[in-house]
Amino acid sequence: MKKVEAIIKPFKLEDVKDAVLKLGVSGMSVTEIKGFGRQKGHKEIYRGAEYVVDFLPKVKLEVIVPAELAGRVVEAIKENAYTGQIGDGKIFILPVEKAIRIRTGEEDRDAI
Amino acid sequence: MNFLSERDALACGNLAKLSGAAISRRYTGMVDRFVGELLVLLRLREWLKNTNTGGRIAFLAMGSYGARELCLASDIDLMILHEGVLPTKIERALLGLLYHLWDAKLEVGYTIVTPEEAQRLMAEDFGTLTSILNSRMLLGSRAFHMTFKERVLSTLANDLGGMLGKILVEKAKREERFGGEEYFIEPDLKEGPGGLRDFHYMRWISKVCFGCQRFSDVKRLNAFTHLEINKLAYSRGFLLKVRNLLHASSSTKEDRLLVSHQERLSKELEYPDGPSISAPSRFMKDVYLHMNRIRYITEEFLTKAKDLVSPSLPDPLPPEFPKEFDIVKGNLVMKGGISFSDDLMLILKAFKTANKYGLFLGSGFIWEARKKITKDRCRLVMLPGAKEMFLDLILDPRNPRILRLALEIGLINAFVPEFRKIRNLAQFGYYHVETVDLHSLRAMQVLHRIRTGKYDGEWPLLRRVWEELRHPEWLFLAALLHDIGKAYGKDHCARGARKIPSLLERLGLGEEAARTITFLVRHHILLARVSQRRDLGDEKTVVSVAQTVRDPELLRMLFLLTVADSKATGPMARSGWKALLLEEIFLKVNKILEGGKLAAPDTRKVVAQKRREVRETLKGEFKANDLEGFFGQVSTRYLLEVPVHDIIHHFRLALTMGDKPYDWVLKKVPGVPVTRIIECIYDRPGLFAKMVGVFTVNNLRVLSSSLFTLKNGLAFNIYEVTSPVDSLMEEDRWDRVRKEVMLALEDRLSLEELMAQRRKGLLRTRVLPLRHETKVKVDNQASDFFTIVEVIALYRPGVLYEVAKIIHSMGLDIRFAKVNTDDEKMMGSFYVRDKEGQKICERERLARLEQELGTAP
Repeated sequence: MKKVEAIIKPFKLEDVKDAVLKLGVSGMSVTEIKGFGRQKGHKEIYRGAEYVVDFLPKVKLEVIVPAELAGRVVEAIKENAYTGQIGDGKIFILPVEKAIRIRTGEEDRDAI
Repeated sequence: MNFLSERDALACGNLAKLSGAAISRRYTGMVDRFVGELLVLLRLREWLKNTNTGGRIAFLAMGSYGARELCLASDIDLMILHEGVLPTKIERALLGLLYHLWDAKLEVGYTIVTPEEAQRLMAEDFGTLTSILNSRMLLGSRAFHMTFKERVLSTLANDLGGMLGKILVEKAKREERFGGEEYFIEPDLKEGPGGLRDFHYMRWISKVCFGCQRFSDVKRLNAFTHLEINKLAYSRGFLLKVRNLLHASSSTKEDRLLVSHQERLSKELEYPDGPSISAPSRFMKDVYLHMNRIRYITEEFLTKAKDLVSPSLPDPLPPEFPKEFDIVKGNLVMKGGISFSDDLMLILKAFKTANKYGLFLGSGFIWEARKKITKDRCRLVMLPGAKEMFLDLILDPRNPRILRLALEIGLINAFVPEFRKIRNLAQFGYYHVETVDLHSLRAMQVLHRIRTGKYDGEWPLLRRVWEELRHPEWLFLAALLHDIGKAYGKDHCARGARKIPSLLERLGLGEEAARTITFLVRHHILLARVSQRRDLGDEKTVVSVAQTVRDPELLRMLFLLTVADSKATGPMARSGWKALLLEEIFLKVNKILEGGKLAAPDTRKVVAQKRREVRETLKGEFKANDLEGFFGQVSTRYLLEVPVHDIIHHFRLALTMGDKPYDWVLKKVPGVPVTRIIECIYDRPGLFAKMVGVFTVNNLRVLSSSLFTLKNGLAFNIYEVTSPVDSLMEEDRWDRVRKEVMLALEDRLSLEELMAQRRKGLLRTRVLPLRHETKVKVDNQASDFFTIVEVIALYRPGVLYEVAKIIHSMGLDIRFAKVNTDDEKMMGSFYVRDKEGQKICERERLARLEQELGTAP
């Protein structure tokens, strides 16, 4: 099993979510986060006062999938989160040791 | 008697057809019969009849059992009052009774006490005290019971203030448990605010403090003549019914109206599904109506009771205080003797005064005012000055509790009947945790907090924007009305907006106010929606919002309304994350509006007109979808600045280009030796420099050029160049230019060499290095999306090429360009981004750019 973690632009959430769900992934978590990388924050001046944003709002998406599905999930995210402008985000793939469904005790594949 | 099957028969029968009180009475009667049978069976009845053994024993029903208010899953509370030692056989029989009751699946609580023990328990535990107040004798010595009860009452009568105080403490503890919230998705029918417990308080106080055998007797007292006993009884009955239905169907004893039950109960009670409101919503609307009614009637009751039991002295009055009112413990009250019947306006005056002085409204206002308003609503609204006073309250609300009261007694509904439909209307959704009416009031409260600087620490921008508003009062009204359309189902923004003009006209507000507030209601979700769902890094997104809003003052109001709506929506919605996006879109749209061109009032018309013409002309040749696709790709700037016939050429070229890297159309300008090149080409780094370079080495002087890159990687360009001198060989010349462009695009043309050769060969040149007399301005503020580079240079052949080359060599991408040259000067504006697609952020880079292009003065 793999965990696919993606950090994307907020307005891309719906598209990415739909694309990932179409692949048969049954669950995902979404977190609102702030971050920065090479895309810097910005500074605005309004009525002489500066409004600086260091951290930009992003969305973190996390899904746990069987290893053989991971590649397709990554592709789906890449395609749908893409704008070509800086700040499109990143995808990480991590190995998952075990998964357990709390209600039934099912493990691993049966849990995801 | 088979108690279990009788109970089941009742529970599974058509409970919905009975009244709440009837169900409880019937069930209580059922339990009475069952207990009675058991008492006979266990011989308790015969023993207690015998005065020797039964002298001083009373077998009592307590609590809700005593009050005949049992619900189907209620506990049965029993008390066995005795004097002296309880005979063993009776004790054993009592135990037997308990076993039987437990076997019948009843939850039984019981105490066996002497009167002294009982007194002690009552003093220690408030719950025991109130339970005893409800006691009813099932078996035993009536005289014994009566004596005991009288003693209890007289003890309490010695300290009525204390009794009342205990009740208020209980109430406060209860409220604390519920967190002081106004509204609950899953209200607790017994213990929640406005639940049955409130009703019990009133009953106990009327019994203890005012000696009323029955609760309705309290109406005989002067202070309580206006108590709406009938309405109260109706609401209580409603809650009892719902509670019984709940008990009948849930497997655990549940007093909270869980969402899972709401649907089922609404069906049992035969609430219909409507097009704009579902059956469960309708049902819950009624639940809230009744619970709110009980809640506010209880508030007033307790305040009045306190006034009677332990009257307070009035507070000192501030100067110029209206003579009709007094202040008692921070509450506005009527000066003794004055009532509303003479002067309805007093109600409004009271609200206005309380609002102004930061008071709440006390005894006398909730009941009498509500009754008056219900009866005389039309007259009140038409009184001269009434609307103005009402608006005074709404346009400058200082105390959110006053607004809540105004809502509760029907004042808001009287002046804004449209509000009635969203009263107690629950919203089911991920974020909303309040009914629509309360949510609107809370939005007004948020605005008030912005105004008084409560958010200055967390978000200083808010108050700065507030202070620029010309008509902040209209914003309060917009907040009150923004969700009025929710009663009509989908698309609440447009529906609500349609209601506004007539509503405001009725209230006597002017046209400008009406237009502003209508706009705000119609677009109150615009900023939130766009900031969360669209790319704020795309200029077009921001421009389209700017074109909708058009006016910076409207933008400011819309921004603050969005903040109020969002903060008033619920805990999830209050995170700072969404605030970041909202702030971004506000600042960006504001900049576009203040910059002028892209969002000028007639921009939309101009653009729409051009789109129509393009569609008309090309509709035969190409599919509508393809055309729309291109409209989506081009910037607003392009549509504003480029003439329609050029747009048509561009679109046509783009759709017929196929695999070619570029294509163009040449048009000679009549009367002058100028040719227009309307080009469609795949954008690539250094494109502009290459194109201009090829023209230059072919002796085609570039008089002007405009560059527009599309989102999809194409560029629509227009050049005006001097026509080739030799008109006979023109076509050949253009062929050669075409070929050289192709080569240049493939980097197979050594432009540098050709330029150098040309420079050498030219006779008439002022050979001045580019650096002299070139003005360069790099502006990183004017646009949120591009760094704008403006260059004014002395004209010489190849100057444009040099400029383009330098820009390219610094790793910059020209997205838009506008260049004009005449005999003396070349003037160019270049909208650039770096390789990552951002504005240039590093200061050194900006400085170097300026330096390379020319020295800034």
